[in-house]
Formats: sequence, C-alpha cells, structure tokens
Amino acid sequence: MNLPALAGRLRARPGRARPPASAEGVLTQGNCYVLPTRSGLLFGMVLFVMLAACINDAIAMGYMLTFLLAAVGLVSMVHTVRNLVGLHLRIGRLEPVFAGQTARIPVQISATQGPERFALQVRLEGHAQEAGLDLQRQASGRVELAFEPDRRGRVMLPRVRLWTDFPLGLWRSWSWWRPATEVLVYPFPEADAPPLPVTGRPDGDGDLDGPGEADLAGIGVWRPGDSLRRVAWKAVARSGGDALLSKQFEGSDPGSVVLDWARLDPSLAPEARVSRLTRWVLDADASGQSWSLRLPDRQIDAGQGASHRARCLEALATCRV
Amino acid sequence: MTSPTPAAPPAASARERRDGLMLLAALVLAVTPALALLPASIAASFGLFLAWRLLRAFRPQAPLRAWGQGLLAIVSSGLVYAQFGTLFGRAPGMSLLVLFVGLKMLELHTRRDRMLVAFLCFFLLVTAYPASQAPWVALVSLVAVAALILCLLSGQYGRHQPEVTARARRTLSMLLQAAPIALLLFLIFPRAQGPLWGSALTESAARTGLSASMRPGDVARLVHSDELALRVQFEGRAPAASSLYWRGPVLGHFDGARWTQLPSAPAAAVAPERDTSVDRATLRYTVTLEASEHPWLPVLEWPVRVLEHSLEDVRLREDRQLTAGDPPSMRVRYRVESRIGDGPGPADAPELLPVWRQLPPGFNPRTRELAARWRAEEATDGQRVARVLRHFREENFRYTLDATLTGRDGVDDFLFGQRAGFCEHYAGAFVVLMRAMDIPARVVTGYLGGDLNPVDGTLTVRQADAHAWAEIWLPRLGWQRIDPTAAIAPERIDHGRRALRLHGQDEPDTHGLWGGMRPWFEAAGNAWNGWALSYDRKRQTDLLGQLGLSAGDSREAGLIMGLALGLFGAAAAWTLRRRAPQDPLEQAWQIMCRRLAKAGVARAPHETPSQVLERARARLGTESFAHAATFVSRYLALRYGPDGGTAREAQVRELRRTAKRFRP
Repeated sequence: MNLPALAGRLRARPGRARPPASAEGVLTQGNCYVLPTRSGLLFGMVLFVMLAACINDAIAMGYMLTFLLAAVGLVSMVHTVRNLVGLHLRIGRLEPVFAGQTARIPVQISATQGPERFALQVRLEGHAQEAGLDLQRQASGRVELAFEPDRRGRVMLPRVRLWTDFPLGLWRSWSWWRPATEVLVYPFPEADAPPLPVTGRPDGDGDLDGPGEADLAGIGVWRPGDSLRRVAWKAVARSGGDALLSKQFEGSDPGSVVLDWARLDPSLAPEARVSRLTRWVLDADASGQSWSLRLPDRQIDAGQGASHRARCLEALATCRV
Repeated sequence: MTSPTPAAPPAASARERRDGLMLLAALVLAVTPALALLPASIAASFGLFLAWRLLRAFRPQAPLRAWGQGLLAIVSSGLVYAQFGTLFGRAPGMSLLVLFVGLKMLELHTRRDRMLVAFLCFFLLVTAYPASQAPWVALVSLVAVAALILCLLSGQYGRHQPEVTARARRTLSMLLQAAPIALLLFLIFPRAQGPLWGSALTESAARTGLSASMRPGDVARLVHSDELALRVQFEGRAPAASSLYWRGPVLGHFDGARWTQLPSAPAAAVAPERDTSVDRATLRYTVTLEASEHPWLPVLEWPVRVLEHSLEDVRLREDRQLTAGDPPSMRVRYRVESRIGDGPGPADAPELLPVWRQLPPGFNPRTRELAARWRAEEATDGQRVARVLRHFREENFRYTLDATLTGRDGVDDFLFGQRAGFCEHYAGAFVVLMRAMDIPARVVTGYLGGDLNPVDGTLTVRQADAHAWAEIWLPRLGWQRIDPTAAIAPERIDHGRRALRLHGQDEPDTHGLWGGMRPWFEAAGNAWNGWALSYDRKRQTDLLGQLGLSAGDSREAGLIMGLALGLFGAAAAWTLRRRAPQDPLEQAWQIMCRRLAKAGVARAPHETPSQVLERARARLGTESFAHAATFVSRYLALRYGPDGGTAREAQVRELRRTAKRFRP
C-alpha cells in the first residue's frame, strides 16, 4: 500500500478545491505533509519487538532504551518537517523551447529564516529527474529540472514537488507547489519540409523571379534590422571600415517570402501546416531573407531579424487552428 | 581466477569509507554487552567478519557473490548449532543475530542496508539486558545509541556533509529533545506483572545462593561469590553489623548427613499492614531482594509484621520465616518491621516443640554420649548451653574453609577428630548436641552482616555473607539465637570476614583512592538499582497515586497519553511556526504595511513602497500621508542607500518608532 499516494488521493477528492497556482511558493506547516518512510516503518516494527521483549522480561533498562528510541523517532519527525517549512520557491527566467525539446526549468529555493537545510530534493510532477540541494541559513539555491512539454503553446508548468528525508531517514516530508508560470513552446518544425515558397512579384509575362536573383540597385548604409548577409564587405573594406554598408536591391524587397496558411497544400492537417510554417520561418531566417506570415487568426507583416522571428514563432505557437 | 575490477567511484569513496568505519565502530560498541554473554567461538567468528570488513575498507575488492553470502550464512548457522545444539532459544537466537549482523556488514549496498544494521544493533542492545543492568552497561548503551544515531544521520546528507562535530551536535540535541518524552513514557507506560509468554529468565535463573538443604560445605562454597543477594535501606540507625542476622530457610530435619526444611503447616497469607505506631524496640527497613529460585525472603529476627510488599503472596510461617508464594523471578522489594535486640523470642506452644528435638537414631554415638554427660552435669538448660560454648572456645577448635569430613558420623568426626570447620559445621554440631540434650533446637541459614555504604546508608549483602547459626528454645525465653561461631577464639579464625566481624575485627577497606571512591560508586549503583531499575507496577501506582491519578484506570491513562501527545504537538507547532522576518528594517516595514492595510491600503506583493505610497495618497488625510511619506523615504534610504555605519542601528530603531506612531 502506497501511503503517500493514498494520502494524495484523499486530498484530491472531488469537491475540494485545488490550491491555486502562485508566483511564489511558500512552504508552511499547512502545506507540508509527513509520513514514515519504509525504513521508518521497519524501525517501528523493531521497536515494537523490543517493547514486547521488555514487557516479557520486565527489564527497566530495556524500557528506557525503547522509549528513548521512540522519542528520538518522534523528534526526528519534527526535524524533518522543519527542514522544509519556511522555504520560498520561485521559477527563474524561462526561455522558449520547441516542442519535443527538453526545457530547462530553473527553480530557485530560498530560505529567509530557519535552520540550515540539508538534502532537499526537487522534482517536477510526472517527470523522474530529481535534483538535490543544500541551503545555508538565509541563503538561496538554484536547481534546473528538465521538462518535456507535450504540446505547443503556452504550457503551464507542472507542479513542483519538494521533499526531504533529512535527519534520520525515518520520515518523509513533502510539499507541492503549482507555479503560475508558463513556458512558451514553439511548434515542432517539420523534418522534411519542401523548400521555401518562391517570392511572388508578378511581372508581365507571369514569371516569378527566384529568390536571391534580384537586381543590385546600389550600396547604402547598413541599418540595424537589415540582414547581415546583405553587408557588402568589399565595399566596407574599401571605405576603411568605419560604417557597415549593405547592398540595396531594387524593387520592394525581392527576398521577401510570403508564408501563407491559405496557400499551403490543402491535404495537410492543421497541425502539420503549423509545423511546416514553423520550418519555413526558420529557413527564411537562416537564409537572411525577410518574410511575412499570414495565419487564420493573425497576420504579421514582412520583416527580418531575431525579434521578428520570435514574434512569428510565438504567433505560430499560440495560433488556434 | 579472474576477479572483476572494483567499481568504487573515487569521488565518494573517502566519505563512504569514513561513514562505513563509523558504523563499524558503533556496531562494535553496541554488540559488546551481548558478546560478553556468548561463547568465545561466536565472538571470534564475529571478530573475523569485522576484520574482513575492515580489510575491505582499505583495499577494495570485488563484492561478495550471492553464493558466497549464502555459504557464510549456512556456516554461521552451523556454528551456532554446534555450539548450542539447537537454533532456538535465547542464546542461540542472539548468536545468530550477532553473526548475521556481522555478515550484513560485509555487504552494504544501499542506504537502507546501513539503516537496517543500525536497527539490528538497537535490538541487540536490548537482548543483553536481562543478564546485567549495571550502570556501566547503561552507559555503554547510551554511547552506542548516540553513535548509531550519528551514523543514521551521516547517511542522510546529500552532496555536502558537515564536519563530524556539527553532526555530533545535532545528534546530541535530538537526544536531549527526546529525553523528556522518553521519561514521560517510561513513567506512564503500564507495567505488566508477569511475563507475556513462557517463563522469564529460565536460562539465566541459575543463581547461586542458599538452598533448602544444608550439608557441611554448602555455605563454604558461597564464600567466594561476590554476587549480590539483597540490599537494605534502614529507617533509623542501622544496627551493628555483628547483630544483623538475616533469617533465611529454617532447617529442622536432620537425617545424619543433611539438614532440610520441615514441611510447615499452611500459614495464612500476610496482608500489608499500614500501622503508623512505632515501637522503640522495633526497626523498620526495606529489603530489595535479587531474583532467585527460592521463595524465602530474608528478614531480621524477629519479624513482627510486613508493611509493604510488591509480591503476589507473602506468608509468615510458624517458624517465623517469611516466604513468598512463588520464587521471585525478578527483583522484589518488601518493607518489614522487626523486633531486634535481646529479649524474649517467639514462644511456641509446647505441642509444637517435639519436632525440634528429633534426631536420627544410630548416628553420632559419641556426640550423644557427651551430650548425655553434660546434661547430667549441668542443672539448667542455660548452663548446658554455656558448657557447649565453653567447650568450643577452650578446646582447640578452628574456623577454616578447608575441612573435609568423612565417615558416617560427621558430627563425631567434627567434635572429636578434626575440630575444624566452617559455620555450618559448628551450627550443625551445636544443634545436634542441643537436641541430644533434649533442648529444642534448629539450624537457621541466612546471611550475616553486610557492607554499609557510608554515603547513602544502604546495606549491601552478598552471597559471600552467607552464614549458618542455631536457635534454641528455652522456657520463659522462647526461641533464642545462638551463634556458635561467635564462641570460637578470634585467633583461631583462619578465614571468614563474618567470623571476624563477630569479634569486631573486620573493617571495611576505605584506604587509598579507590577505597575512598568506592562507596560513592556503590551508592550510585544503589540509587540506579533502587530507582531506575525497580520501577515496577507498584512504584508506578504509587507515583501516579501521588499525582492524584490511578494507574489501573485506563481512561485516565489514556487521558494522560492524550495530554502528552497534545503537548508534543503544541511544541512541534511552535517550532514550525512562521516567524516574523528577523531583519529589524524589514520588521519596521511590515508594521507600516499592517497599519496601512488597516487604513484600506493593502500592499500587493509586487508593489514597491513608492507605489503603495501613491495609492495611499487618495486614502489618507494630509497629515497621515506626510507621515507615511517620511517613513517611505527614510526606509528607502536605509534599505538602498549607502551604509550608514554605526548610526544605522539607531536610525532603524527610530524608523520602527515612526512606524508604530503611524495612526491613520
């Protein structure tokens, strides 16, 4: 019989409100649970047998020893809970990840008051990886836990479990905290996607120019936001290297790719479409072109660079299909 | 034979080795009291296991294969079987446990294995207690418990393990916190009266001591035994050691070689009498008798009444011998009032006397002849007794341990041949002479004297104090004690502190450092025995009765337990409470926040002091707002500004006062 699981189920019975998510988890007496460990139960059994032997032989010293050990067991329970109470938990800065990648969740634990903490263990619900931590008085520490999100979008972090066996290993005290933090999960980019769609700039005969084959109009000053691939290095070298110069192309922006939801292969499922668009955004960014994104619920105008990419990926992550 | 490479991770090995050695040391400490009781072969095997373990700590080898472990287990069982002839029972069980713990030490993989070893050591400590509960055993046990808890603690640390002194401090603090609870449990936990199963101490009840029969040589055999017989606490001044005759079995039947007890008429059980009147000629005392396999309870002559006892069934026989219904299987206490000093003894009805004159016909003819002659020569019984004693004193009688009596007529041999013997020879010969002279007489065995501890006034009587003397019945005087040993001239006493004591020549050894310290140690031992170890059901009832509770009432006992648990829970909750921040600056800010909240401006967790102030502008009056603004600006300066140096403390205190004065 798994006592902690039973206790958990008792606690989660319907009709009882789930504790809300919070930005900072505070461990108090009220939300720390404690139960004996298997070793603790074994200890109890040994004590019971000792007590039976003492009663049988009426040995006063045996009584003393048994009761001393029982009292130490009880006292260690208080120490175990005390090892947890008073801790503050926070989630650190989260970077977005792609679906299928493992996010590294930094958990900051600080002890503003109370004794030194030893052998704290932290784990995410549903995940096996555990991290251990020791804290000095009024210090804080940090652990990183692996989290594998199962879908894209803004995914709420699972509950964090903090537990310890500390002084003697006879009792286990634990607590759950539901962080009010989300991690942004970008969609999984399609593995073998077709190449980027050709830029559409209709001219008279209906031909479309391929990307990259635009007419060079001249050299201009490089502005932040322009792709670094456009920099005309030879011209910079010739000019003495004071300012960056970039090639200008004529026309509106012949490298601009339009990534349109509606123009995708009709046989693709919605999630597959999202996946393909994600791959195209990454490819466009890698090739240095500018691109625009058109989704059923949103449209992002042409641009390029890291922040444009981030905006597009976020839109893809959160789009409703 | 190829051996797989050892896979000990180098980083953790130093710490693991240290912890392993510490567990080993704690194990040795815990097992020592038990090992002292077991045969040498078991101890040697255990030592072998430990030595092997020690070797492996410093030269890591391949772990023991599963079949190796099984083989060693079988070998150990075989050894125990060979030693004891069985695998069941107290001593074989203990031996098996000791050997298996040693075996387990060779194969410790997980943390739980180590914890199991520690738990088994706790159990082993208890198994050693029935044999001895002396103070040194208690001390060793305490140190062993502390060491084992230290080992349990050391195994629970993660990456960072503090110094051993820090760990030891934590262990000690846990033990100290546990002590009051343990004491409470010890006092409250109900005591059973008898064993739950089987009979307790069947194996270790082979105690030496006085038996129900006496042959020449029986008492002499006890002379070298330092084993404790009883302890006495007197109420009032203790009499001189030479007059402390502790009456044990009264032996009235002589078959020519042996004295045995007469079957006694069933006597009524004695109920404890709580009589507060004190007779000046009587003495009250409390005897703590060690467990024995005989039912008699030694008392000073002549017992008048039994005031308290912790036994089931106590009887006072016709011959004024105090006995219990069953032999005391554990230490017992009884409080008796006795009449001491010279004076008339118990007067028996004349029809009871013939049994005390019985002599087997055909034995010891020369003794009878001598007795008949003296009976004719002396007129009164008193003079006849004096004649016999004079004979012992003036003739060349020696008091010595090495006396062998051969032949059918032992008394003849003693009186006319050897003329040397121990107290039982003298007592036996004396009683035979008395009976031959038609004076009712009997042999009494028991103890004489004892060691009086000057520190706490406890009299300690050991088996070595065993003695045999005689009692005779004289008209008008009743039964009187006569100790023929006292008649022997002191210069002829070869051995026997008791005999010397009778002549006032025995002095306790209080010279030197050890001699001076010894009474204190013994007094401590007496206190330990008297209070800690004798806390039985009766004492518990007394203690709880003094507190106004009755132990038998389970409801009240449950109430006490509930109260104790409640207290414990309250103490636990108090240590786990959420405390105010300890930084005084932070405390001042908290006070301010509380006051503001009362005024309706509750601070959200993400708000800075300035933001709170802005919000408060609308709610507070101008004066209050100015007050709050001053506070906030000073608070921010103190918190985020440059360090104010020595004046900072005063400034923080001032700030706190400002907060307290704020009344919106």
